Amino acid sequence: MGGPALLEVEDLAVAARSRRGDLEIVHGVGLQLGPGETVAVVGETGSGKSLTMLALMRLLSPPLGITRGRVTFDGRDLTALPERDMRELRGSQMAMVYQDPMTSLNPLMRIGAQVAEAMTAHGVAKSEAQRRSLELLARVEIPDPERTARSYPHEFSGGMRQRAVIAIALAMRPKLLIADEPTTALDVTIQQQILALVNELRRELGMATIWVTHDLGVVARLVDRVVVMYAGHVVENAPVDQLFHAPQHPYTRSLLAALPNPADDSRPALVQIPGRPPLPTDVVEGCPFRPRCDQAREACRVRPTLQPRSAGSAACWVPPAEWRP
Amino acid sequence: MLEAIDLVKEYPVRGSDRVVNALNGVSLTVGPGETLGVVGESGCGKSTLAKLLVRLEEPTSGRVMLDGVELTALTGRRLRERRRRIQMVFQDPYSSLNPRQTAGRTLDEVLTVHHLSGDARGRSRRVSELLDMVGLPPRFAERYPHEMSGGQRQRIGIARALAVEPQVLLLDEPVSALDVSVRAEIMNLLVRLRGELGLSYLFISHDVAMVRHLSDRVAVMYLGRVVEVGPWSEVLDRPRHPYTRALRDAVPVPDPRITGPIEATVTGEVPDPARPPSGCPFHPRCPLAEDVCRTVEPRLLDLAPGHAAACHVAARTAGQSGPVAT
Repeated sequence: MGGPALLEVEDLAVAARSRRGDLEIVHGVGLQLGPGETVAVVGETGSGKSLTMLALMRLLSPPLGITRGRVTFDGRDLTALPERDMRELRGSQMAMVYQDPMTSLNPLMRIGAQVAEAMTAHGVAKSEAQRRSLELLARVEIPDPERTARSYPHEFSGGMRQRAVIAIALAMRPKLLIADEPTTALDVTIQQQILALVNELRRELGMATIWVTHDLGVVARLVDRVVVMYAGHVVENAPVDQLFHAPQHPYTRSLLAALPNPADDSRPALVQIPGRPPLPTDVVEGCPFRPRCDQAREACRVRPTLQPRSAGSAACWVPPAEWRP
Repeated sequence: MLEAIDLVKEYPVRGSDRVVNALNGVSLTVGPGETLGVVGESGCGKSTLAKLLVRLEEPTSGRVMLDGVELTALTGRRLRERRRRIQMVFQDPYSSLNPRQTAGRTLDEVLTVHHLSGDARGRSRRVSELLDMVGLPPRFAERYPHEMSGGQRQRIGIARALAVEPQVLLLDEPVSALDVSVRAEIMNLLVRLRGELGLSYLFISHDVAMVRHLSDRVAVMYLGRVVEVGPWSEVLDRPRHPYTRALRDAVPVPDPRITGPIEATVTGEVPDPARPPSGCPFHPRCPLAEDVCRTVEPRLLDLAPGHAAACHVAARTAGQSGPVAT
């Protein structure tokens, strides 16, 4: 990567705050992203992946809040930035696309006007914004932009809505795009079209991208690095090739083994991970994955920190060479 | 054993006299102990098919047969008696379970309604047995849906379906709402139960990888039609229909060593079922489309033993125009 990071997240913690005290949900996450780099943040329900993203965009709403840590974006500490500056940054320098496009679309406003508004809100002249909105709609492969610009979101299919949201997100050519499960609700052929489109636009704009997903398969060919989260912790952070072919954390290995192998005609039983992830209210002594881990031993009663492992890092005391088969 | 014959389902379009053909003449069979995977994207008619098979809805035309008896012709008690043998498992167990009832109560109620397992003590014994079958300890009888994980709730959903001793389970996206690690345990449970109880499955899913994992035969649906059907390895590993190929190739491969840009294998979206294209319903998106595809709808033809596809180009390549497959 080299050079200064575009985004640096250090020891970021998120908690649900109440008069009776804080309930911590994200426990000190670290993440680094160079300009133009693509990273996947992978985890199951409750892993804290989406909360971490909302926190670094400063989009948490009470009772959720950042309780600790720093987020440095393009040299500025976002946790200390006044809300006005933050609003200016969001949508121009950093943009987010969600699973449900209706989260980002105004149902009462024409699509073209919404794309244009993404630019006028950041100081682009109205006529210029209108002209560019048509270009953007064409760029995200929405057919007949002149006509479709006058449509309302409800007249669009799910795939077309997500394309419109991407046009809005990219209108100001942001340096960072966070794509939070943008294709999870879409059909697989449409998912493939959207992944191909975003990947192409990312290259074109030299944009750094964070893909947030529960599906390792989706990101295998999209990213440089993968960050695996479990129960509010980063458990592994590795180059994508190493992560898939030599996972350094037993949780990562189990996640990969739980997927059916499309090349195996004998269709063996899928590898199960017994139990379920802890809730934020559960108290787990030591490693949060210990109760479900097939490699757990005495040492794991102490919570592991991220250890350097090959070209990445893993929060596990036991290196793969010492794993039981 | 379970047979759908030329099922058609039309829904009226609100505010007009037009109709939408949700199902356009679908014929399928599921043999004893067999798993038929039905795969397709939104709007392909797979959920409508499930509703017709359990008679949650009535077909516009066509028949559903179970063990040679026409379900679609039965009414009243005889229908209830027969229909019991086909049970449905839904995608989201949270919305299909009563939040104010314990799992034990839910199961007990099913047994009571169907006059099964005798008195309260008999039913209670049966509830424990059902929980055991789906891998849950007896104490789960006391739990409410919100006290269970997604996987545990889906186990209860399966136990409820098994309570009436069905022959066929209609599994409608049973693992789609679950996390990857939980998905594996439900898939393994389904494989085990199928072996232990000799059940037949109709496994409806949009997930090609899961269909590949569980099915003996696979039917691919597109816009209310079966466009390809055959043994799982033939259909998914050597597809004849260009849509099956596109669908399979759209599944992301979990291997970063495959290089090169990600490219869409099929362009455009599924057409509006209220305005289906002329000829082959897939022709506007098909890379192989020819003139004939724009005007003549292809019939489902046997291209190899037990392997049929509805494609003019595939039929010509196979060099035959055999009899209509069932």
